[in-house]
Amino acid sequence: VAPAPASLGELETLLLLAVLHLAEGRHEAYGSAIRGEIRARTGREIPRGSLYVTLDRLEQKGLLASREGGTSAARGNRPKRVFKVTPAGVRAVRTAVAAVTRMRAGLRGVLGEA
Amino acid sequence: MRDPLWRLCEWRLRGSVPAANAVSTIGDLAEDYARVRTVRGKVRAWCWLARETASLARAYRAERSSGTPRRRLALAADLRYAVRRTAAAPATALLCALLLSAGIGLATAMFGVVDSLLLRPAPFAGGDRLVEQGFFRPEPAVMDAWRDSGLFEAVEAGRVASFDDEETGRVWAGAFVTPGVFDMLGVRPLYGGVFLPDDARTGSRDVVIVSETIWRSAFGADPALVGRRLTIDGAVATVVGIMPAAFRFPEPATVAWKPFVPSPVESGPATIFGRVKPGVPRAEVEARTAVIAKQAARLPARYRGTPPLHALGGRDPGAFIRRALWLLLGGVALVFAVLCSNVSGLLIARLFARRREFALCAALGASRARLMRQAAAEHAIIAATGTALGVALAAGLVPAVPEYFLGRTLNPIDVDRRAVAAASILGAAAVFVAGLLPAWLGTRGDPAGAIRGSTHVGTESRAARAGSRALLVAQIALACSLLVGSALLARSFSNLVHADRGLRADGIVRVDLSGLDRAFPTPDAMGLGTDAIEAAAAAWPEIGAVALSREIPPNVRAVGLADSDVRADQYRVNAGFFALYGIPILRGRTFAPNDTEQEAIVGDRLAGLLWPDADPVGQRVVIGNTARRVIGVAGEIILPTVASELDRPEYYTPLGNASRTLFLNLRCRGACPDERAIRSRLAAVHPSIGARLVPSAEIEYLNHLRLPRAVAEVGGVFAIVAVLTAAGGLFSVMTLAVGRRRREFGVRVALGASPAQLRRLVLRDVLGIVMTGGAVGAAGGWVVARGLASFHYGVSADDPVSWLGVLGTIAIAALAAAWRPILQAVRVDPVTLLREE
Repeated sequence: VAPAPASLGELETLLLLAVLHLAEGRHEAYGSAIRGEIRARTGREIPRGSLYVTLDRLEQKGLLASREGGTSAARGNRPKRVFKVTPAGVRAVRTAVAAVTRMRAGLRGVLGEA
Repeated sequence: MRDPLWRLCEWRLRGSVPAANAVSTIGDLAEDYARVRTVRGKVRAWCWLARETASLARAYRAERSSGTPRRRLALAADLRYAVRRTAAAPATALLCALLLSAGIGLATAMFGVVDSLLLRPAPFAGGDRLVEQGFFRPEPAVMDAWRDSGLFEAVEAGRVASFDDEETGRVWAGAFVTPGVFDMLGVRPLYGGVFLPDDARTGSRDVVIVSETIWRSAFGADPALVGRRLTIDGAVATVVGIMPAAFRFPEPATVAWKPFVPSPVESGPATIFGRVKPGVPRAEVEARTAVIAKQAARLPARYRGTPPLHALGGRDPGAFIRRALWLLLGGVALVFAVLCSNVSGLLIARLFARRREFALCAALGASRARLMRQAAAEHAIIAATGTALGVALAAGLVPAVPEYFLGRTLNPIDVDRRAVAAASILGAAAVFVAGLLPAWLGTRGDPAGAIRGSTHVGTESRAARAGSRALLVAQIALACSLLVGSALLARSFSNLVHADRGLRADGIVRVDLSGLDRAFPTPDAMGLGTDAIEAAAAAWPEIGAVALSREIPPNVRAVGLADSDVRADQYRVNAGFFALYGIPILRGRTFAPNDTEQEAIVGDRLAGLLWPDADPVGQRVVIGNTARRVIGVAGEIILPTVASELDRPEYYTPLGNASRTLFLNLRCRGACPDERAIRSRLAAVHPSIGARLVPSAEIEYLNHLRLPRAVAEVGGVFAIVAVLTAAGGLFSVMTLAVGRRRREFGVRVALGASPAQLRRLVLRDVLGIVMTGGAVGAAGGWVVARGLASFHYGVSADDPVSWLGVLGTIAIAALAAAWRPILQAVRVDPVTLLREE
């Protein structure tokens, strides 16, 4: 039996989803790209500090894994830190999204959704 | 990215983002920053960059402060609390700090000596790259070859000399040095200048540089000395500079310098100094200079090999001194151990007295580790105070370091950075060694018992009691071992001082004669001349006896015997020598005027070695390269020294006519004539005879006593400190023990115990500790004594006098320490005690 997945905060859920989206599109999921993805999909600008601190925390929890990625002149030849969602991370996202979905059931009218 | 704000931000982030992710995080920022700049322009990009940087730094700071800082806060709180506790009851802490400072001070001073003699390179620019090679005469060709070899940055030369200053009437240890020496060593004069390159050329300028030492002692720190003219060795020389007292080169005693031109026609030993280029391996320098010496130097025909290349100033002070120093360092380690265990005992008592406080903390949830950390913080304060005091003490002790050691090194003996570092390490070690056991024992609390408020719980815990007793036993044992070692050293020194030397040297004046080859150029003239000198001296009114010799005791020149590994001292003397020095002729006869080099008189010891069963007189022996016939046996001359290889057997041969160097030995009735008088009277025999008084035999003998004396002195100080400390430890532990047993004693008195019975009770306790410590210490002392064997003279490790003295001292010290506690025990008044309940 898999251990109960850690419950996720909203920002954590957003980050994990963004990393998954980038992976689907075969893009490198590093700090700037993740922030860009969230901005593009939700219009929200995540504060830079929160972004990296949360990424670190997710990696510590074992929900994200990172490796050294490519580099470029614009970065001053500093390598990227590319993230990937671990199986535990996928389970955690599934649980979090399922919880939101179940809580939403029956509230379509109230929430003004079609 | 050449952008000042960017660089500032990058620097800021490197300080706040964890190192593992800093590079990628800053890379992301750089990438975004480049994009923002192109989209929004420079100024708005700057605002953006500042905002983003602040966001990152703030987030990571918040992240950090939820983790580690709490521990840092706790540590600060520990320290603050420790300072408050220590200030509230400073007596024990101060005593501990003082004891530690004694140990650290002694050890640091000793380390300073060892460091300057054995470990540190010479105190000059590029000190560890300076080398020297001694030759039998000045070797300009070798210097040129060194310069051409490409191994050296600088090549200079020098020779040791003594300068006769006619103004002050003193003889200074001086040196001739090439003008570049001062530059090579990177030293500047205190006043004036150094030699100019031209000064070395003969006839250009006669100049001299003097040391601050004699500037102060002989010239009263006269500011006008630079530029003054002195008469040195009969020639006028202008003082051009004054070197600082710390500059001692090429010998530790050198205090004056004159310019030197290495000339191949001069004779007498000279040394070449070089500073090796950085990065050139020492092995290569050694190999190349050995080849150069073989090719370019004019070594004597019978000299095999090449003179060794030394590190300058790092000259090996000799196996003997090296051993002595390590030995003293071992001694200081023992003293340090005694002091640490004493401090340890005091700390146990200190923490034990506070066990209620610790128990209370434990009851409120403090872990054992937390309590031990608290104790450690208090010990750290004590150790820091002790270290600071110890460094001050070491600085105070350094001037008291026996001068003997200073004469063996070019380095100053001082408390420098390295010594302070050593002291700090010792301080840290002391906290660890002395504080661990007390912290472990003292923080083991019984919360329930302590909170019940049992203030008069009879005795200390079994573990604390056993701990402090064991420490006391260790102290007494160490003190006992040290005492045994130092008693044997002191006995050896006393034996050396009182040893029979086999001759009477007091009241004899020895004059070094020079200019004889100019005065008497042919062997015949020399024979007549020396007879004339002897006859003239014998006629002087103050003189009782006269003898001529080419060597004077205690001689250190040894000649090997053919077909034997025996080495013997050679004395070339005339017949009067034996009577003058009071050396008896045991068999045969003394020299007659027509005896030649083929005749020899041997010392008693050599006779015993060569012909143990036969009559030595008439035997033949090959010494050096000459076959000799023994005509007599003389009483043995003994050189009292711990370096037993220097006390060799000896033999005597007639003076002969070939002597260019001669000593005139004079035994005076009453006062002896002084050097000037002797010189002027000899000038009457022949005007070119020079004369110089050499140190008396007494001084030469005393020189051999300086190492044993220095070792015995330092060892004695160690032993005294150790015994006093151990006695102090015994006193404090017994006082505490009696204090804790007051109730018990009170009950005993109430039940009818007599004062004598109480006294016996405490005495039994003291004796148990002292006997155990003494027994362990005796075993340790035996080991120490065996280790010291090579410093013993006429005394063995089982010398009964030393051992009785040691046991007596320990017994007296123990009784003196236990006296007051015993009286306290007897004075317990049961009524007062009951009222206190």
